[in-house]
Amino acid sequence: MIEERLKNTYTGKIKEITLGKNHLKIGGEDHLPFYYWEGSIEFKPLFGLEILDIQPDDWAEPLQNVFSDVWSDPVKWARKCVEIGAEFILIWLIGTHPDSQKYTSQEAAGIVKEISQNIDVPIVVYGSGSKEKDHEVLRWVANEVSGERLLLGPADEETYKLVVAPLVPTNHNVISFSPVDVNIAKQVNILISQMGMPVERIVMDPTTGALGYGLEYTYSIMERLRLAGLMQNDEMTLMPIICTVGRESWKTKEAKATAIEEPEWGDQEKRGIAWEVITATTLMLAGANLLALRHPKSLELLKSTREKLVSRERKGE
Amino acid sequence: MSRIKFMPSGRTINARKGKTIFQIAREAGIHLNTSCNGVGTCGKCKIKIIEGKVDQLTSSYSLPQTLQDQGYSLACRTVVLSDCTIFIPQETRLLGSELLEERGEIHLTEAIDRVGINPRFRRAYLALPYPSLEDNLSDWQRIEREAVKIWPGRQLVPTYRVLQEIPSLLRDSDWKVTADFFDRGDALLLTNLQKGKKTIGPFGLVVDVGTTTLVVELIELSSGSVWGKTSRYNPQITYGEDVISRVIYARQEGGLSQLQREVVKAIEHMAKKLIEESNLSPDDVSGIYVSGNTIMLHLLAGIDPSFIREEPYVPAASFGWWEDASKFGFHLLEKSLVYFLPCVASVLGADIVAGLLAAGFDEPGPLRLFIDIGTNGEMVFGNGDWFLACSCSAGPAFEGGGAKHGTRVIPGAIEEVKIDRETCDVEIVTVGDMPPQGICGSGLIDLLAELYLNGIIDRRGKFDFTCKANRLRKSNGDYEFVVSEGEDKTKDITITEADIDNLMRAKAALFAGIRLLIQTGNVSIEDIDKLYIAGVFGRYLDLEKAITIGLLPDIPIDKIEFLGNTSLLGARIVALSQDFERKAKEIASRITYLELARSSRFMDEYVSALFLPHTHLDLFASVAGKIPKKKKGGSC
Repeated sequence: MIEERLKNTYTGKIKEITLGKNHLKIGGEDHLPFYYWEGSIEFKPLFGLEILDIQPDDWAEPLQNVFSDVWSDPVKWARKCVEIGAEFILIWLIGTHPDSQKYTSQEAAGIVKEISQNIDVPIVVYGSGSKEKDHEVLRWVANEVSGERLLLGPADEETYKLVVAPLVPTNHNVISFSPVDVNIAKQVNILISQMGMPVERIVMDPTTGALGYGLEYTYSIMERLRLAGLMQNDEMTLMPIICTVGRESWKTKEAKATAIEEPEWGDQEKRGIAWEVITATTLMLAGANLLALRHPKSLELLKSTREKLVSRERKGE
Repeated sequence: MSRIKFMPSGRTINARKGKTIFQIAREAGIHLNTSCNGVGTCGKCKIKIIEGKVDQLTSSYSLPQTLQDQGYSLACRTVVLSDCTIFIPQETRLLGSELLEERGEIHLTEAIDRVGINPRFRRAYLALPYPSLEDNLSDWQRIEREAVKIWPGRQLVPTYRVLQEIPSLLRDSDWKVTADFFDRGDALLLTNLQKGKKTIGPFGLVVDVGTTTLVVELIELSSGSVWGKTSRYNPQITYGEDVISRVIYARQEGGLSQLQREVVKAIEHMAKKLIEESNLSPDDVSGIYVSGNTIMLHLLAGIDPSFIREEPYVPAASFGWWEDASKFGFHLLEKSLVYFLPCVASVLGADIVAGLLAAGFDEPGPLRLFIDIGTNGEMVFGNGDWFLACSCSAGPAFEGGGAKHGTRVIPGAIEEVKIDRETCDVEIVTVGDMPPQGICGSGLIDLLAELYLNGIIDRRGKFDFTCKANRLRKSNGDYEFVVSEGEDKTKDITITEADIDNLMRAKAALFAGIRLLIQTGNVSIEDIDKLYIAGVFGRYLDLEKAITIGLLPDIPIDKIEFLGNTSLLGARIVALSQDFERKAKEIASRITYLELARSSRFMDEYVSALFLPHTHLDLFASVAGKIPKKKKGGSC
């Protein structure tokens, strides 16, 4: 019996974004994620590791065990991540927050610059989350680091002007952030592109919800963005997507509670990794292009899952 | 008198010879560009004489010779001497300044032509044979015998009150009386008897009980002609400006009867004026037809409306019935019968049902959308066989409320705004050409569209400080744009970012409602054949601007009609025709009401409409071409 698969027709294609020193590309899909019978994948989703500019004081024990030897120095930490196999590095510049004031904008930019001189994978830079300070920090970073294409953000509905304006004349890319809302995601993209930022330099962060903490919302928002873009060729929803999985899944109670605190939940390390892996796998299937993680084991597991999916897709089985 | 025709609109106005074209245009409500107010110094009101004899007044501003050679002159310096045809060039016109034509009356006439006049009340002159020993029928049977000759086969019934009056009235009037009957369906009910022969009447009173305004019309039911019309504030306003505060007041001890007394007293006061002006007597008014929102009808009927406020928002009555006027405290009109037009839901009242009648929704036909814009935006979508309706809370934004310098439509209210793209100068038109007092709803919509089209606000409605508009400033922590400068800064009329937020939310709520109705009907915006706008607000609306900001859907403007006070018009149709009374009930029963509070899709539509004109620009193709390109270093 000959089975014929029904195929969708697509009118849109995800924008191709160029990252890092080696001009690594993401995006470019012209079919729904992993619908391997409908098209082939050119640029696979990338898995990176997250680091901070300061030494973390609340990271779960399984993460401490892996990184406490290097995390007092963000440069060493970044290098270790790359050695482990991170395909990109995401650094949170939380030391620049007005409450902490560990670093000035200039110092923070210096840290990113030094990291950039030491590693070859793409770098994603998030500010501290301070609406007053982030644009200044990101401007410094953008100006200090040249010769590679950083991904900088977030730029949201309120802050987009100040964040995006200094990035337009550079080569860097910007993260368009929205609070789990497909309409606002599109609106922020429109606003950013109206500033003169080419759509090929925008990556969306639709807000990541970890398993049990809004994962289904993030999933359905991403699904709607992909449907609007691919099926209806809605240009303003065709940007690649970044998900900050590590931060969200490692702050859940399920990942943070020790085996002593919650004996019935079993081994903390396995539990935390499982939480991170399930969250990331789900979002990869929803169409995420960049997935930032925290634990090396998660990285390893997800890369192997991806390879299986991608090889199937490449073969067109 | 001369006939002055203005092109390109083609409007023709009769005017006295010797007046300037500027004066004639202004009196006709056509506003010409000016900054010297017509004294011949600014040179902005240039027009072209196509035909007719004119004379020129002296002017301190002289038009370039090339323009003069082409027939241009200044409207304020040109006096008409004969019939003229005048062309108003684009730059002289203040956009959309001509009021929309009220089409409601036209629809009403068409509707009445279709079914014919057939009111509940009939009047008959009866010259009764004198009673005698041979012809000894009772007084009532005597009336019945004559009346049946006019309406053969109908059963006739007297009211008790009339029976009490009959004996002396018949004898005092030499047995010649005018009798008013009410067609109850099963029988004709004698409701009133007057001495002698009345050649006119019977009459009805048509009442629109608005939350803010009461409108009363006196009509002759037999002919459909309007004998008088008057309006005043609803006196209940002193107990709360909005319906909710009145419902709360009604809950208090004696509150409900107080509110009822106030509104009945006001209606009777207005009725008395109309009756006296027409040299009629209160007895000539047989029926009172009341339309209004559900809460206003409850208050007039003296029925507790308080549960409308609580989930699941159910009203006590849906009306659509007759009752003696005396039961509601009418004194002057105690002999009349009152009809309350039917309501659909707590937020979809008789005013909307009446509106649908006035818009011709009783007839099956193409897909039509009816919108009544006020504090609540009620909208109904359908083809005459089915109707979908919803109500979105727009807040007072379109009535000038909730804005720092917002105002109702009063003399001096800024109703039109035009911003010059190069200089950022603002030109305004006020109601009655009075000094500016504030900005009314239509002015706010104009302003929002102009700010957007000139790049002063971005698509979120936030001021763009990279544009160098010198009218942007910060005041008390909020950013604002100076619309009209006062004697000093404190007297300036401005629009703030918070005002714009309110407007954005209001327009988003309305458009989300429209989208939801259309999607629920499983059609698209292009399928709308006609869009009817009801309510006073609609008259001053610049349709193009309303589309630009995404308040109204992007459909060709010739598909949009402004109907006027459809609540009143609909009640009048019901008064004139029993068929329409039945149709009102049918329409009310066929409306499917969508409760938006329960709809998650509404929230989604709402957020996507919180953008200028909309997140999905493909819904506003006509606006796409007008969107300003980001330009650098411009003054504005």
